[in-house]
Amino acid sequence: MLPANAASLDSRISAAPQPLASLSDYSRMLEDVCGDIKWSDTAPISTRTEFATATCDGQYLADPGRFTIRFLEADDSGTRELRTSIDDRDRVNGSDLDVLVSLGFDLAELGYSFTRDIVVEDRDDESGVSHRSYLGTLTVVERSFGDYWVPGSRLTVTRDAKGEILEIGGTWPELDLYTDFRDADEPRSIEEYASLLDVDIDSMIDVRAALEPYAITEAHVLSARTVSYVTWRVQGPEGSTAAIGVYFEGATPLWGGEE
Amino acid sequence: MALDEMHTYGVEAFGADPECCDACGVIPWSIDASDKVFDDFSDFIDDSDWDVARSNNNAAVDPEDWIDDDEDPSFGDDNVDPWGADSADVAFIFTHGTSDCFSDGTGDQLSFVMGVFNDEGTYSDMCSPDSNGEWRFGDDSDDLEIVVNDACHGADTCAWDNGAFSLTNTTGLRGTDLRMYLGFHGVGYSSPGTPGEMNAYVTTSLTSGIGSHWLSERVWIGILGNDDQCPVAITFGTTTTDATSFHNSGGFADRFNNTPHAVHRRVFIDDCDPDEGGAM
Repeated sequence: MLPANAASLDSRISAAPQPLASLSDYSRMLEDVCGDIKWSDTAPISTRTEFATATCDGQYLADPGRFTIRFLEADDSGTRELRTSIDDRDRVNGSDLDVLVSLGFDLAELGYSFTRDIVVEDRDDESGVSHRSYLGTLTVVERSFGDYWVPGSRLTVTRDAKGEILEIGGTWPELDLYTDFRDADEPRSIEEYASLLDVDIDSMIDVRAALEPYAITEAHVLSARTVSYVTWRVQGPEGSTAAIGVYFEGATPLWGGEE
Repeated sequence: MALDEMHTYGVEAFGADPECCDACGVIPWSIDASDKVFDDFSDFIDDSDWDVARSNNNAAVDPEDWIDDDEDPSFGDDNVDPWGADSADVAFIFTHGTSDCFSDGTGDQLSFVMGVFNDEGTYSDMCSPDSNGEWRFGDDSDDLEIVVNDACHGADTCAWDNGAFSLTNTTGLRGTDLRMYLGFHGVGYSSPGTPGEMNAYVTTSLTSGIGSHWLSERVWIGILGNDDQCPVAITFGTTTTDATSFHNSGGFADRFNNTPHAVHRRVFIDDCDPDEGGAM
């Protein structure tokens, strides 16, 4: 039996997703926000990542008014991590979605799960008196592709109690290089994943069969939270490609019950 | 100058003699997550930002590694370099965990499961060192300042409410130098995404965001009901300002750890609702 969310698989086959911008593309996008951007030299900080910093209006990092973005990009699978530090509140404002769109993220991919959570502090002060304080919000935007969640890819926006952005972070793999980055060096078969995650392999096979009119080029289990998620990379009409995902229940609690 | 040292411990195998915990299931991603942490700190070393990284997995994760040498002088070796957790400045552990309070909210004891029981002590007791008289992080001359407990129930709300982290709890887990303790309220999950989340957390928290990134990188908003993953960050500091600053601006390499600590602080996500814990 197919999972309920596999009912309209045909509708998921669409044109190839737009890959995210490169570092230089980001630079151009930021010019709209910052005006004169000065980039530091891009320097490798490890064998798999690069580091670059942008400053607005020629100001140094320690100066007020900075808008800095640090990219950790171009690992083996094309996964890019983005982390920003925004100290100039006037340059980037608006809703969390507005801010993310202004940074170049496709609105259509921002929204499988969009939650805005309250961050709270419990504290005993120097006198031993207990306090509870509201610290701000944490918005978690899980990436979507069509109606499907893209596990392992999400953005977070952290604001303080006044609503000012403290930080934007996240991981946003290139969909065109969609692969299981964790196992980039040693890929496991889908059967191994099914065994590890205690997922019903027959359900996987049923769904895979439904995709046979299309050329399946890759198959991966990308992630599992309270569910497991399988993605097939398929090739559709006129060479278009798309990622198809299906949920399966199953994950491994780190504990449950008494020893 | 003292070296910056990190130890990470991963346990996946349980139950087969002499492994601990017959009832525990395999955790398929613990060692992957631990290895990812080790790789990240190795990169820090390559960049001259860190000094020592050590990885201990399965059979190299013994009860004595996490049992305090003062609390249990005949058995605890947590201060013994290079195996003991308390001989490092920063320690991660990925394993099963539980607490005695998630069912009725009356307890304050936290514990996690070791990899292998050797030939000392009592098997059933020592395989799961606990926060009442066995864990003691960063006490006396020991080093440990930051503990990342990636197991279920490691930071249960009822344990906080019942004083497990209290500054005045003389039998609790807090030694005088413990700066930060990170864990989960309720059930946490081991998944293929865990190593990537840890990679994102560690690589962005060397010099800032050590507490705030734990929340943003490790929270899961479940889609099936009460199945959120609820990270909790507990900070100890000399003042309220000191504790708050460390949560937001401190890092593994920037611990700014002055003592004595007069404030402890817990940051979490309101209404986060995990399995086996109730909404926060």
